[in-house]
Amino acid sequence: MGRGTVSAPAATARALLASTTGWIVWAVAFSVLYGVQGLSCAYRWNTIGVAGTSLAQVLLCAIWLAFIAVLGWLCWRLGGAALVPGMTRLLRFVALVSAIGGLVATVWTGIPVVFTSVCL
Amino acid sequence: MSGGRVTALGLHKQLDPLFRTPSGWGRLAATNHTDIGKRFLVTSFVFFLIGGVLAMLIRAQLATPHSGFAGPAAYNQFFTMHGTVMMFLFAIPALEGLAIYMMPKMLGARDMAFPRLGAYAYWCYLSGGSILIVAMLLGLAPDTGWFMYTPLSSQPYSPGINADVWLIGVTFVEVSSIAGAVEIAVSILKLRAPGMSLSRMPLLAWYLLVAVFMILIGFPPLVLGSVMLEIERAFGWAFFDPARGGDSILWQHLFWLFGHPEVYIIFLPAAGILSTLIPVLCRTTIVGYGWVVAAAISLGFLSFGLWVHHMFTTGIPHMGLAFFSAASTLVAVPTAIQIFAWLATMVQGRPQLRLPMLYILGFFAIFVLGGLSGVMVAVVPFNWQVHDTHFIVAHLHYVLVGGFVFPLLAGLYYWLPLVSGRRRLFRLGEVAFWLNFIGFNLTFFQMHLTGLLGMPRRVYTYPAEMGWTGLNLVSSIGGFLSAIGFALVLVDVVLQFLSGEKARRNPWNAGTLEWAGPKPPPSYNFASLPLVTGRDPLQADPDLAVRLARGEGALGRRRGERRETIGVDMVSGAAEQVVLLPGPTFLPLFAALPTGAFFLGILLKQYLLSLAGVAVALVLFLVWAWNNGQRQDEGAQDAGAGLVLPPHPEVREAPGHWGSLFTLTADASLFGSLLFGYAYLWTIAPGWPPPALLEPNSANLALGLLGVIGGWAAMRRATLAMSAGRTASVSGTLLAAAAGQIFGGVMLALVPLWLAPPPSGHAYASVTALLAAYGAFHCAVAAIMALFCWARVKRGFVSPARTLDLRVTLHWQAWAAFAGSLALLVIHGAPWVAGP
Repeated sequence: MGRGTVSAPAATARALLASTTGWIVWAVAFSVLYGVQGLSCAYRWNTIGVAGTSLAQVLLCAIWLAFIAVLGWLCWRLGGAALVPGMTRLLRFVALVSAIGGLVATVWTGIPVVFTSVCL
Repeated sequence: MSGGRVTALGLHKQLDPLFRTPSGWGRLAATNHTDIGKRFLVTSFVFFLIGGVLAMLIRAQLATPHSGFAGPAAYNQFFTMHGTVMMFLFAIPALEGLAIYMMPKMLGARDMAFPRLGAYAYWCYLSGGSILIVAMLLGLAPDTGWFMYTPLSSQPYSPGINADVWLIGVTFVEVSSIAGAVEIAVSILKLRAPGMSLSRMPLLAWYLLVAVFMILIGFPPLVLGSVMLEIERAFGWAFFDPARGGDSILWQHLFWLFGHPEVYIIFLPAAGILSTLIPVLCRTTIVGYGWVVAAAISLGFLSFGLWVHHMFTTGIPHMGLAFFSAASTLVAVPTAIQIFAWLATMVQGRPQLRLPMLYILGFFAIFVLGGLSGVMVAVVPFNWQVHDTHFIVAHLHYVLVGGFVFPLLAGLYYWLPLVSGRRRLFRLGEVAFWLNFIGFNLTFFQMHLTGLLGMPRRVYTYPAEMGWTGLNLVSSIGGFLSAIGFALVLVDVVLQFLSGEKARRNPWNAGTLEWAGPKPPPSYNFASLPLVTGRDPLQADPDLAVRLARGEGALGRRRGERRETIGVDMVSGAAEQVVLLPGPTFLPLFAALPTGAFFLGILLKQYLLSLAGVAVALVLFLVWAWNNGQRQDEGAQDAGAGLVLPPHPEVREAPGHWGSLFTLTADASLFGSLLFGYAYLWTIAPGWPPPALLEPNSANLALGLLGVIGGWAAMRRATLAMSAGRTASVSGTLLAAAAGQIFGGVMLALVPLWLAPPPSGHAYASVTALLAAYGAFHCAVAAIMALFCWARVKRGFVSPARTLDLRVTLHWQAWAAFAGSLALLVIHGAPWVAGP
């Protein structure tokens, strides 16, 4: 039997939270896109023309790209170092999968903002 | 730890009286996780049998066209209760029962973090379930489908008590589920053997952790929806009534925000069972531990992005459909990662075709088919074709029976020697497996075909010329084969308990800690707690069980009447505290009774009974909380095995700290759902803008904000002062915190009483009143907690070293301030924004 060690209360909750950051960002992105799509239809932003398309589509594309950029940055950061102190090897791995998964999910679930009609 | 050497038997005689449940009436006071876990499991299996009988009634009715077996009214109750019983009274309680029974044993602890909360959760579950079953026996069961869609379930179209039974019974059970989820989450994160880092944690614990966090986020939207629908039905408010600015689709959103994650909440613990059993039965270790953990977490998140795929035919714009269709296809990826990890483990190892493995192979066959039909229904055009047909019935049963029931039966046979201390004598289990496997596929595979031929769900009969007769008859025969299979499983289990031979200590040569003690397990689980250095402690140290029994681990001595286990750092698993556990008490039962009175009062429209229930429950909860803690600082003490640890009241990250935060997580989910409902109605529902808006009242807004924020600031000041040893001003500041919240709560209560239009007139007024009520309720809770702290300070339960009471109350004060402020700003701001 090994010997136990007594820990100083560390910022373990932050390490746990950080390991799921990618998915949290995806969840926010998904909710914001769905919410803005609903608002666009409620306030008829799809009928306001901007740059050859509608204000709604421009807004949704901008939000989508912004979240992709955030997740891309997160993947790049996690490729090099732990996001917060106290992350173990497993949590770093989970964080990296979470960031890459969040990025892929944001690209995949957000693609409809480019190709589909907003309010039909 | 001081004291002379004690033999294993001597230590058993010391610890057993301390932890075991009293006999006779004392059984009702049980808080021990072994007893509570078993009660959850046995009760959930009883409900499973009831749900199974209902399924047989459904199949008897549909076996032939124009059947006279049951009329439409009875049939509606059959299928509604079948779904309700299986989802709410069997699946979730079974997984929580598994967690409550197994986690301390597997993680190396003596009990759960909050034994009384577990007992309370059980009594609430039993009571809520009993309401539903008694109503069914009286012919008053819910009859509008397990999803209770409005307007069918609204008062004009379901005027009896049936829909109320569902809303009350299910909400009662959900209170239990959320309470259980808090307890399980804290126990997994904080109550592990020293050295058991997250990287060394058994995969079942990872899966259960993800599942219970999903319960904390996913169940509150349905609690909110049920509260809204019950208020609408009882008092004529207008959340879901389109004629008064409501929207029946809002119910579907709230229901499926819960309902789709629910599927994964059920699947994930089953996947945890598979990840535990497959390596053991294949005599190897799991392939891709990190990938499996990451996949389980990914599934937990993604499953919240799928709910609208149940609503593809409700007229949602194409872009919205595409969002959810894409997310629904994506969820196959983490599921596939797990399946490949299990297959790779089987390839790497030397599989043994024992009974649990038969059920695992059955799982692969059935669940993969269910997953593939899931990808099919994720595609919008196909979904439109098969929506509300028997194809969907086939798909959901392939997923749920394959993904939950078969793994659960594998787990049952794997862990039964642990529970009973005996092994099987006969081979009834193998016969039962084949009956179950063949019977299941005969029942449900045909439904893909009847569904594609156009047979709708929830019809009580069909004409012979539709061409569905033969397929339905085969389905019914298969259903009855399955029923015989499940009956044989029951007989097999009973025979094992009654006549099985004594099992070996570790019959599967497993590496996890639940096998490290006598069988059946003693009341205290471990005579001393192990210090863990790897993922499979029993394989790393074959003599571990004997040495633990001799008291060579941590806490290997009895210290007075203290029931102790060790609390660890959540990530590293380093020991940080000795957690003091409560013993048997009737308080959970006594608190569940007035909780039940509250719900029954609402069901029977006896609102005085409900109010009395709330008052009595409040007093009992205060007594419950009062019994916690200690009046002296003890400081760090020898805990054995070289550990010197303080008791949990003197530690910052005590279990109660996290229990409070996780409860608030569920609370925040409910509040978020309410804000979503408010925004949804405002932007999407017909009949807006409302005929009358609230007159913005800057005095109400300013005074309300002053009260709630001032209360929180005072509470923070009191907590900081106590921590710094400036104790003189603490009592007065606590009273100021209570006063601030009372003031803020009164301002919020004035909104529906004085400022807003009557809530029954329009959905705007209804949702405004509900928002104000939410804020006022939390102000009241925060004020009561501040007054409670004031009394605790006076009685010496709080000191600069023991600030847990204050810090927990600070959480609730902060939430009351945040939610109360946001409610006030939305209530007063929205009419201003929308005004002329």
